[in-house]
Amino acid sequence: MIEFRNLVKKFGDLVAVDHINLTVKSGEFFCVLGPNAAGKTTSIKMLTGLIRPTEGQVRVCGFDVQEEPVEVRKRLAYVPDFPFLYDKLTPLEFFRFTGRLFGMEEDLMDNRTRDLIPRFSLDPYIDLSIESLSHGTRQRIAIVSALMHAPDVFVLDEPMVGLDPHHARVLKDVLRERATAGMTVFLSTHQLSVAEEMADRIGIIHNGQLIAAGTKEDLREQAGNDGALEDTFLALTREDESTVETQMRQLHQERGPETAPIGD
Amino acid sequence: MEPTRSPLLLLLSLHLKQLWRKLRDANERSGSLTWLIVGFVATYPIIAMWLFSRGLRKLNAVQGIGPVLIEELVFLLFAFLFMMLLFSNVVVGYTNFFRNKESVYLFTLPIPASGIFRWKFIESTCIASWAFLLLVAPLLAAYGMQQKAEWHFYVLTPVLVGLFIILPAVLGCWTAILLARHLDRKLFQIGGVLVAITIVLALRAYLQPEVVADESLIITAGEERSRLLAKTRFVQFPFMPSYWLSRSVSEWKDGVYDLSLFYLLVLLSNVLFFGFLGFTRTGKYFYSALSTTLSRGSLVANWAQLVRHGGRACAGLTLLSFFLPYLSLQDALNSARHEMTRLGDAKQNPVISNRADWPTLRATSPRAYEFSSQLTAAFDQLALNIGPQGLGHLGAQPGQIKGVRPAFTGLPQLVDQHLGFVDLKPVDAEFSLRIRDYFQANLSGLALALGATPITKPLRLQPVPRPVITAAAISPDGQHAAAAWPGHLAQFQPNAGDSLAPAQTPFQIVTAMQYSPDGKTLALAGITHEGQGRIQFRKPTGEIKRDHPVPATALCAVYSPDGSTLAVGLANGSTLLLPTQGDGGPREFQHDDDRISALAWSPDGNQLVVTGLKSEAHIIDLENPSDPSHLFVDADIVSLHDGQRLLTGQKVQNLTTRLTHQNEQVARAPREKYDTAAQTGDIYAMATLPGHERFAVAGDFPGAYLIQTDTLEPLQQIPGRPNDLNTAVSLNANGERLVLGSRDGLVEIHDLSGSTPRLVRTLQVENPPPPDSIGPSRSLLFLIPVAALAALVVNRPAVYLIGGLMPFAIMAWLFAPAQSMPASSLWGIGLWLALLGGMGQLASLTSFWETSAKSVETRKQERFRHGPLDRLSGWLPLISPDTRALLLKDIRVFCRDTAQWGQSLMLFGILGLYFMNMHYFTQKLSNFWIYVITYMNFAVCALNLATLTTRFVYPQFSLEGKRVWIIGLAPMGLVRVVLVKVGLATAISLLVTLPLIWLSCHMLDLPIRQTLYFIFAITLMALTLNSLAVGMGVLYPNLKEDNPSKIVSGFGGTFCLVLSFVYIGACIMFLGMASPWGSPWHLLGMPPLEKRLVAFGGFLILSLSLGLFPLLHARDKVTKMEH
Repeated sequence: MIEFRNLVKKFGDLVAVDHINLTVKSGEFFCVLGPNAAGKTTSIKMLTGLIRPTEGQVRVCGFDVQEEPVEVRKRLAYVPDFPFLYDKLTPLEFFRFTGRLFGMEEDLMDNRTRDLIPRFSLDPYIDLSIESLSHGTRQRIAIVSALMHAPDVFVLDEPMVGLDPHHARVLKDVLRERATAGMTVFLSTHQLSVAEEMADRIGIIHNGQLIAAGTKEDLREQAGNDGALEDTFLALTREDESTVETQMRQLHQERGPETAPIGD
Repeated sequence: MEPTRSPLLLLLSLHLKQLWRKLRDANERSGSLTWLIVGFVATYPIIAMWLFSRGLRKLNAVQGIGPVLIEELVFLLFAFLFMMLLFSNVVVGYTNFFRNKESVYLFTLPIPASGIFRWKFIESTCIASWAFLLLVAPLLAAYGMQQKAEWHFYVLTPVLVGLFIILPAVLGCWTAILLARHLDRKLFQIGGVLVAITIVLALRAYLQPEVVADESLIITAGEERSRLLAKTRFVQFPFMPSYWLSRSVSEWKDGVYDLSLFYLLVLLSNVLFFGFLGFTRTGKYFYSALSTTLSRGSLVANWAQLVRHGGRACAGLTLLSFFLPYLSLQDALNSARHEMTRLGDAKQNPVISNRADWPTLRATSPRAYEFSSQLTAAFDQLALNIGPQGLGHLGAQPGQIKGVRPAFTGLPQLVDQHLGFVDLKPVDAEFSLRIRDYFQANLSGLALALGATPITKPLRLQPVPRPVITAAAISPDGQHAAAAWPGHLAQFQPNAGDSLAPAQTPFQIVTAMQYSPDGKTLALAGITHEGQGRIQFRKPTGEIKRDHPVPATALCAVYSPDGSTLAVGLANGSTLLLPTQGDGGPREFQHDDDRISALAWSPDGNQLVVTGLKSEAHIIDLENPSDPSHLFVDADIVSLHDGQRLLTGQKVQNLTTRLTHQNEQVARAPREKYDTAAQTGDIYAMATLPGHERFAVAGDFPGAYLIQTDTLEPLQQIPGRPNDLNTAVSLNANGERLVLGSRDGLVEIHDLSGSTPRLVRTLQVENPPPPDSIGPSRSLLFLIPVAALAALVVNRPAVYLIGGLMPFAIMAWLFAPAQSMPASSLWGIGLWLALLGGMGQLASLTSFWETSAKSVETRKQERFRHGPLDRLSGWLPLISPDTRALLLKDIRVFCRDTAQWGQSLMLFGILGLYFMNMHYFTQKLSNFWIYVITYMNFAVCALNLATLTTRFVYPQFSLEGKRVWIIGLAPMGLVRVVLVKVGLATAISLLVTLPLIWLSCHMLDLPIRQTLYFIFAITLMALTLNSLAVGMGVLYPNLKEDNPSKIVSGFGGTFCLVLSFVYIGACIMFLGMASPWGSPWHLLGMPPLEKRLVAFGGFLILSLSLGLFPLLHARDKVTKMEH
C-alpha cells in the first residue's frame, strides 16, 4: 500500500532522509519513531506529496506520489500535528466542505459524520465557529474530516498532541478498527507507548536513515534488548549520538576552542 | 441536491462565507468601526470623483496644453497602476502562495496542483487589486465626465480595467513563484535591497526635474509640456498593457470606436494568452516552488548544487545570445524607441515645421527630418481635407476634436505617400500643437490596426537615396550654374559636361545661392557643419574668393542690383549688408522678428524689403535706415520690390502684389490658372529677373511656373515629375535659362526662350549608400550556437573552453574597425550575452565556482562564532545582558521579516528621493514658500514616521502573543520589556528620520540652528510616537494573532493612528508658531517672544503627556497582566 523506494531528501547539504526503503502493507498499522529532526516529518511530507524527494520514489496504493498526486490524495488522508482549519467555518461546514472535495454524496457525508461526531464528542461544538475551539477539539475535527472519506491510507503526524486521554483512546480504537477493515495507518509519534500498544510494525528513523523496522520483537532482537520499547529505542539510537559527539569533538580539535563540543 | 464538484467553486463559496462572517464578527465587535468603514466606502467614491473632477477641470484650463496634459496623465496613471499592481501581486502572491497554511492543506486534498494554483491566483489577484480598483474607479468616472463621454464609456471601462488587472496578476504570480523557487530568504533580502538601491539611483539619475519658470509655461507651453513630460515617455511604449488600456479608453472617449475596439482586442488576446497560460500551466511550478519553500532551501541557496548547473546555464546563455537577434528584438526596440520619441521632446529629434530648417535638420538628424516632413505633410493633407476653417474651429474648441479623429484613419498611408514640404501656417498654431500629439499618439495604433506596419515589421523610415537640392543658381549670362545639397556644392556648365562633380563644402546646408550681377562671383549663404552661419564667395570655376562668418544661420541672401552689396537675412532676426568689394565692414539691421526669411532690393538699390516669421514687411530706406516703415502682410513673403509694389504670398495660387505705401492690393494671381494638383501650392523657392518683370517659383506643386509680375499670370509652366517637388530655382538675366533643383536630388536646366519650356539637361545627385551594419559576419555567428549546443549536451569543461572562447573570437572579429558595427545595435546585447556566457563557461573550466563554493562552505563552518550584531551589542554601554538579549532578539526578528522593513524602506526611499530632488524646484522660491516647504517636509516625515510606528511598533507587544510567557517569566519583567521596545523603536526610527530631516534642511539651505531645531523636534516626536504606539499596543493587545497587519487593523491600531496624526498636526502648528526663524504661521509678522515660548511649551507638554500617559497605563496593565 505504501512503498518508499530508495527515498532521499536533501536540504542543501543536510541529508534529511537517507535512502529509505520501506513497504507498508494494506491494513497494517505502522508507527514511525525517531529522535527530533530524525527525518520523520520529512518522510511524511514526501509520502503526502507536499515536498519532492531528491531521489527515489514514494508509491501509495500503486500510484507514484509525484506522477499521479491526485490519485494518491483521493486514497489518502493526512493529519499533521497542527492541522489547518478554516477558522470562520463551523465543524459541520468544514466536514461538508472536505466531503465535497472528495466527491462524496450528501447522504454518505451525513452518515459518516453522524457516526464519527459522537465518537469524538464533537456534538456540542458542531455549530460553533472553529476559531473559538481549543487545540484538542480542532485536532479531533481534523481527524474526523480526514476519516470521513474512508481513506485507504491514513497518515498521522503526532496525532495525540493536545488530545485528552479519553479521546486519545477513542482515536486509537478508531484507528485499530479501520486498520482491521483494511486501512493502512502510518503514524509518526514520540509516544512509545502508543507505538508499543497499536503498531503492527515499528520503524525507527535516525539521522535520516531507517535504522530498524519490524515488530517489537524484531526490534528488541536487533537492539539486543529484551526490555520495554523505550530501552530498545534508546539502544538503537544511542550509538549514533555518540558518533555525532565524536564528530563534534573532532571538529573542536580542528577549529580551535571557539567551537564548543557537546557536553562541554 | 447534487453537490458541487468543482473544487474552485467550492473554495470560492467557502471563502465568501468566511469573508461574510468576518465582516459580521467585526460588526459585532465594534459597530462604530464598521459604520465608519461603510461610511468611508460609500462616500469615498463620491468625494474622490469630485476632487478628481475639479483637478481635471483645472488641468484642462491650462492654456494650450490642458487637454494634452490630461491625455498624457491617463497614460501615466495606467502605466503606474500597472507597475503598482505588479509589485502588489508579487508581494501578495508570495505571501498567499507560500506563507499561507491553506496552500499546504490543499495539497493534501485531491485537488490538482493547477486547481490549487487557480484558486490561490484568484484570491491573490483580488487581494492585490481591489484597492487599486477603488482608487481608479472615481478617477475614470471623473475623466469620463470631464471629457463628456457617452454613457457606454462607463460600461466599457470596467470591462477594460477588469481585463487589465489580470496581466499584472499573472506576471506577479509568476515572479512570486520564481522568487520562491530560486531564492531563499537571505538572497531575497540582499537581492531586494540591491534592486531597491539600483532603482532609487536610476530614478535619481533619470528624474532630473526640469526647472520651469512660470512665464515660460505660458509663452511656450507646448515645448515646456514636452520637456516636463519627457521623462514619462516610457508610458507610450506600445507593448505595455497600460498603453493598450489607455488607448482604448481614450479612443472610446473620442468616439473612435474601431480603434478602441482594436486595443481592447489586443488587451483581450494578451489576457487570454497569459491568463490561459497561467491557469493551465503554472500549477506544477507552483507545486515545485512550494515544495522548495517547505524544504527550507532553494536552488540558489544551495551553492554547491548550483555550481553543478553553472556550466549548462552558461551554455544556455550563449545559445540564447545567438537567437536573440533573430527574435527581431531590434525591430521591436527600434519601433518602441520610434514610438516613444515624442515631438520636440529631445534635442536630437526636434520636430520643426518650418521648411527653412529642414535641410539643416535632414543633415543633422535624418529621423527627425523624416518625422517633421511626414507629420507636416500629413497635417497639411488633413488641413486640405477638412479645411483650415475647421481646424481653427477645432483649435478653439478642444472638446470637438473627436469630430476630426476619424480623419486620422488614413494617415499612415498618407505618411508613406505624401512626403511634401508643406507649411503649417493654415493650421491654427494652438491646434497644430495638439494635433501633433494626437497624431503621434495615433500613429502606432493606426499603423498596427491597418496592417500597414505590422509588429514584426514596425514603421521604419527608409533611407533616403537622394539628397535635397537646397539651393540652385545660374549666372546672368547662363554660362555657369551651381547646385548645392547638404555638405556639397557642384559648379558646372549648364550647357555642357557629362555629370556633376561635387565638391565638399564647409556648409552643412546652403540655404541661398546667387551669382553676382556681373556673373563673376557666386555667393553662398547657410550654416556650417559646426552650426555657424557663414557667407562664402566663390569664382564661377570653384575657387574660394572670400569667407565671411556671420553671427547666425544665414537663411537668405540677395545681391543688390549693382552687385556692390550682398544682403543677408539671419536666423537671429537681423539683416546684414555685406560689401562685396573692399574692406568695409557689414551694416547690420535688427528687426523685431524671430528670423528673416526673405529679402528683396528695389531696382535702384535704395530700398530693401525684409520679411520674417511675423508676417511683417520691414521696408528699409538705405538713405535713412533708422526709420524703416512696416507693412503687415497676412502671409509669408515671397517678396519682390520694384519700388512701389510688393509681391507677397505663401502659395502660388495666392500671390498678390500690393502698394508698399498704402498696403493696397493691386493684383491677385488668377487661382484657376495654377494647377497645384492635390498639393498645397506652397512656394519654396523663387527667382526673379533683374528688372522684376518676370519671376519663377517652385514648391509644393508640379514643376515650376514662370510668372508675369504685373498681372501675376503664369507665362509658362515647367512640367514636373511625379512624386517629386522642386526646392530650388534660378533664372539667368534674360530669363531664357532656368535651373531647378528637386527634393529628389534632381537638377534640371530648362530653356525658356521658346513659347514652351524645353528641358535641356538633367543631372542626378545621389547620396552615398548607407554603411552595412554587420555585413557578412552573420554567417559566422552560427558557430556560437554550435559551440554552445555542444557544451550543453556534453557538459564537459573541455567543450566549455570552445564555447567560451568562441564568443570572444567572433566578437573580436566583429568589432574590427572595418566592420564599424553600431554600438546601439541590439546585436550588441546578443553579443554581450554571448560574452557573459563565455566568461561563465571559462569560469567553470577554471574551477572558479567550485572554489567559491568551498569558501561558502568554510564560512558555514564558522557559524558558531558570534555575529557582528552580537559583537556590536557587546559594545553598548550601560545595558544589562537581559536587555541586550531582548534588543538583539527584536532586531533580528525585524531584520528577518522582509515584509517589515521592505515597506519601510520603500516609504523612506521615496521620501529620500523627493528630498534629494527638492533643490531643483526651490531655487526660485520666495522665503514664504521655503517656509511652507520646510514645514510640509517636516510634516510628511513625521506622518511617515507615524505610519511606521502604528504599522510596525504598535503590534510589537501583541506579536509576543503566545511567546509572552518567555519574556513574561524572565526576571527582567514585562515593564522593562515594554521600555526596551520603546527605546529600540525610537532608536531605529531616529536612524531613518534624522538623516531625512537633515537632508531636507540641507537641500533647502537652512541655517544650522534651524536644522538643529527640527532635529530636536523630530527626536522628541519620535520618542512620543513610539511611546504612544507601544503604550496603545499594550493597552489594546491581540495576543492570538500572528499577522501584524491584522493586529493593526483593530480598534487600538486605528485609534493610535488617529491620535498620532492629530498630534503631528498640533506639533507642526506649535513648532511653526514658536520658530524664531520664520514659518508659514508668521505671515502677519513674527509674534512676540512670550507667545513663541508658550507655543514651544505647548509642544513640549503635548509631546511628553501623549508619550507618557499611555505608557504609564501600559505599565500598570503589564504589571497586573496574567500570562
